[in-house]
Amino acid sequence: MAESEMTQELFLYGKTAARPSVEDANPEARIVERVVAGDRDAFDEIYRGFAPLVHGILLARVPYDDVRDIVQEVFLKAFKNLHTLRDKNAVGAWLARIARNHAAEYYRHKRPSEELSDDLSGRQNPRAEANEIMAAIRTLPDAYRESLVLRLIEGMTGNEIAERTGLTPESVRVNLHRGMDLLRKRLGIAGGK
Amino acid sequence: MKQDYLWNKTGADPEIERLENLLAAFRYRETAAPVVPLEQNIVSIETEPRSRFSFSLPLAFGAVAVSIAASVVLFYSTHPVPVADLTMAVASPTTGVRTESPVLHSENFNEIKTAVNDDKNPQPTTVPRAAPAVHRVKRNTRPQIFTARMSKDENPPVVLSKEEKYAYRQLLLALSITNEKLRVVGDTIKRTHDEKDLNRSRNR
Repeated sequence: MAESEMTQELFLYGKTAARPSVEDANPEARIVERVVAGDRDAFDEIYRGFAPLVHGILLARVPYDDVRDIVQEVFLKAFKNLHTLRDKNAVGAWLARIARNHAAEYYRHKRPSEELSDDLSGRQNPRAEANEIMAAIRTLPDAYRESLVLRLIEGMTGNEIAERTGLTPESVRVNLHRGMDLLRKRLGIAGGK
Repeated sequence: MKQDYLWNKTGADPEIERLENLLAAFRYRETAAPVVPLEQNIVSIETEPRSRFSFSLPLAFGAVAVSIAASVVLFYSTHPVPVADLTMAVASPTTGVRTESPVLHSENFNEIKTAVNDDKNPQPTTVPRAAPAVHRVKRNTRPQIFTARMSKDENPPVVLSKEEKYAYRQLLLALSITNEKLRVVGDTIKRTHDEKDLNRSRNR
């Protein structure tokens, strides 16, 4: 099955989780309401809670050196538009969408080229090897890439990824396993299918 | 238990652990939240005026249209076409007189009869009704409109309204411009043919 077809299947398969009712507002929704009311401390809480998510999503798409600045831009934009968020329980998915849009906007103005190194074995410098692994991850389809970055780099579990991005756990599980298989193949690690 | 480790970090997977250790250099390091201006609270953001661009665009189009219309009206009000005794010059296609004035090269205009009495600048010019002959047109810096004067037994000339006269002048102007353009095209084609003939004769 071609990768594009798998990605398409995943985007279709990766349904978002059912939204809880207004009465079941989670703590994040209450924090959002406080931010909308003008509580800047509540905004700091939002930032601390979701910065790793935004960082991971951006890291999957743009060069590492630019990620930090774009994270700040994403949260500034989120603060300005938080009053437009209809479902306050889905602030994570909303932030993820803003981050993806900013990553796309980044490439409209600048297109850095990151080529995958041919020789990925026997590297002595761990930083160089990390760069090559990162480059290999960025060649994966979007759905796999994002889940793997959030798992391997930001250290989130599968359930945490599902909860914060709004995807179903089943979708995240599929993304992680298929993504890992592809990554093994790209890196030449034994065990890749 | 490899799959469990990838999913929820239970069990052990040396390969994935190695990747995690190598990629830890890229992990998010806690930083301060962006500084948001104190006065930029949500309420003031909600009352921001909508984009000026969306408001001013139709206004700009309207202003441009009005200015174009005004300039056209101003131009024709300051450059009136002297219409005295409207007499149309008619010439056949083969013996047409090229003048600066908008001369029509169509025999059909023989039958267009207009007459405007202008006591200030009476400049009668008579042209045979259906005579495909060369005629002399009084040269003038401004375009002049002429009409064919019919014989006495014909119907009296039709008086045009102000709008009709304006439209007629516009039509003549457009036709003269077209005439000039066609002349340029004809000259270009003729020159091209001449050059081809010259080249052929040289190559022989």
